[in-house]
Amino acid sequence: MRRLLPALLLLASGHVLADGCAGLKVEDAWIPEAPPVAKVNVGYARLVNDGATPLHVTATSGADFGSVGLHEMKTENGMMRMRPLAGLDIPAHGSVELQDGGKHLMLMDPKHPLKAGDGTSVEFACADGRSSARFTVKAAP
Amino acid sequence: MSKSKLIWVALAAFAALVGAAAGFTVLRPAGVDIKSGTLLRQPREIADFALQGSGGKPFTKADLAGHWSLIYVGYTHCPDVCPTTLAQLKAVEKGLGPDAAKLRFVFLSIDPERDTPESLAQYTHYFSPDFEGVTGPNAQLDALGANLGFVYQKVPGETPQSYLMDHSSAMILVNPQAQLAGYVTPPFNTEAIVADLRALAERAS
Repeated sequence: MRRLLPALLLLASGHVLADGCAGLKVEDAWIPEAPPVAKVNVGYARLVNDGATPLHVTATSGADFGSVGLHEMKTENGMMRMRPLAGLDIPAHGSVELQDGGKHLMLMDPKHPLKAGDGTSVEFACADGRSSARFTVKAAP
Repeated sequence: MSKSKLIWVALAAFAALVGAAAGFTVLRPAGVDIKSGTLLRQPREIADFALQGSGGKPFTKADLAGHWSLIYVGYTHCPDVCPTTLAQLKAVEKGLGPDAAKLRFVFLSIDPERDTPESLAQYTHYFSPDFEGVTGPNAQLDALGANLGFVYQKVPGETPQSYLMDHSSAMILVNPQAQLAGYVTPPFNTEAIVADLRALAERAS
């Protein structure tokens, strides 16, 4: 409860819980604009662990999405395969790339179509707590 | 073995080798080398099929005749590689300029459970109004897959609606006779695809 109380106070004051995952930094976070009819968006970013201990990170929710998750894309034997990931292990003073054709954020059931220039937030969780990161929607290259 | 016998054996082996090489050269059909993938030495016939295109209108083998087609197999609940590839095909179409009119780009969804012809048309037209979004019953997709050499498989997800689809990564080239002509294979290079499609379209005209 001692740990929970400041969090509850923060929530009550309308603050977003930030930096709950000690050492986690989310850089170059973006979402390519998808066709308005798309039921799934994708999120890319670089997750950096500035801390001295490894981090295990999961994606828990998104402000504009029904649910979020982590997936990995692989091309094996001429087949495209996408598989859910239980989480990301970021080594101490290391980073993990979420990028096209590799690991990515699955942003499912968008509550409204996201256009280039829009922003949205995605929440990550680790053993210590939760961190919210801002993602910018950009025109697909 | 005597020395003379050995010479005869060596000569026979040499003759066989020369003959095989000559035969190989003569029998090898003329083809077009493409940088972006592989062309079959002998185009393969496709059986007729019944799918649905934009707005639910029929899409059959006749829709593949009279022009080259590039078919990309995927589904709209694939957020990563499918939209990236469609965006790349948009760049290919742009790169072809006026020659693009000689070709058709088809996005073939192997997820008819979630991709209706209407939603597929909206999805595909976001990338280009000229792209055709096509799907149909699994039996038709399976039969066409056997003809065109693509496969797909449903992989259950956490909920009944969040399943994933594994699918062949190669794009399929169909010639103006509506025959399987070859494949464009990943990693896709926009410039190489533009050059190859332009050469194929010119050969056909």
